Amino acid sequence: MTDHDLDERLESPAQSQMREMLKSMPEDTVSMAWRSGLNERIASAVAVKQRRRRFAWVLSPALGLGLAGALAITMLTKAPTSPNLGQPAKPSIESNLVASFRDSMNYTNVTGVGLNPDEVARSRSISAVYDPDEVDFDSL
Amino acid sequence: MELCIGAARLSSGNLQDHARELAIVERCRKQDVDAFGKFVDSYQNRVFGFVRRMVSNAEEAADITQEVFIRAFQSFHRFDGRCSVRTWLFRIAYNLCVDRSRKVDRSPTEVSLQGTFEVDETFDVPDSRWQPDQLAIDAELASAIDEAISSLSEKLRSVLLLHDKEDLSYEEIAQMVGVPVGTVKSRLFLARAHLQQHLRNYLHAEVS
Repeated sequence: MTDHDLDERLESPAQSQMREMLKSMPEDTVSMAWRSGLNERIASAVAVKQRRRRFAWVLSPALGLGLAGALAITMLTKAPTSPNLGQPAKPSIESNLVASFRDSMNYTNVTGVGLNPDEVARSRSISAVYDPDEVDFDSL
Repeated sequence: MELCIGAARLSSGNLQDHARELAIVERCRKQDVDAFGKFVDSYQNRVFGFVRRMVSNAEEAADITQEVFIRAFQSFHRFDGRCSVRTWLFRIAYNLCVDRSRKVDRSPTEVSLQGTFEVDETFDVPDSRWQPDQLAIDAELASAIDEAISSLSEKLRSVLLLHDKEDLSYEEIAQMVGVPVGTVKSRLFLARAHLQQHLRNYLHAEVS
């Protein structure tokens, strides 16, 4: 059966009669008690909604404040850490060279041209081990 | 007084009151309890009539009808106006009736000791108070029609009531029930044919 055939059949007198019969049926009515019960339920639904809204109105700023406070406390109690503070900086080659040059300049200023304290100490340690030039041949 | 007049006109679907209905709907969307009261006045009898024929139990129908309006009130802010408010309301009613029938199918059957609803209380035929015989005939016919409707399957019954009693279009019913328009027409045809078969004695009497 095509759609057109179905439309025609639905418009037939017998089908239309059924439609008219249903349409002419009297309207059902609800009781006053029913309406009163519905009004009560609506009122309680409104009350619940208002309570929730009030609760949310109080809770949301409080929650925001609490979070902000917790964040502030966390930030304050946590010790500020610098990445270079805990570990000594690793000396670079250039800085070592500069430091060595400064040391040598200081030694020169103190001891004059010639030996510096390092060289003296080194020469002493070497001679303490064995120095053929300082052997006392007379004592042999 | 104005409230009642407005309610009566709205329920008849008069185009002149379309603007007023829109205003009421707009206020209902803002959770205005007074406007919702007018809205209930407009539709309570029609929704109750539909639900009562869908569930065949007056007390349960009254509870479901209340639930329909509570749901409507709670979700009015989500009503987007893409369909008419009447279609939207009957969709809520239809869904609740379907939910209820599913629950009944799952639960063990209960036999009521009180019997079905009382016809004399439900049907109040106007302007026939002075014709007791006519009143009796009308009541009997109404009872027979109700019986014929309740003997239909839920699918046929819902389409028949929504189209012939509530004047919803094929497209609206198809969208509500979730079937193609052709299926709605087929169901309507079958439902009317079943009704005609069931009421043939009354129809012959009426013709004669």
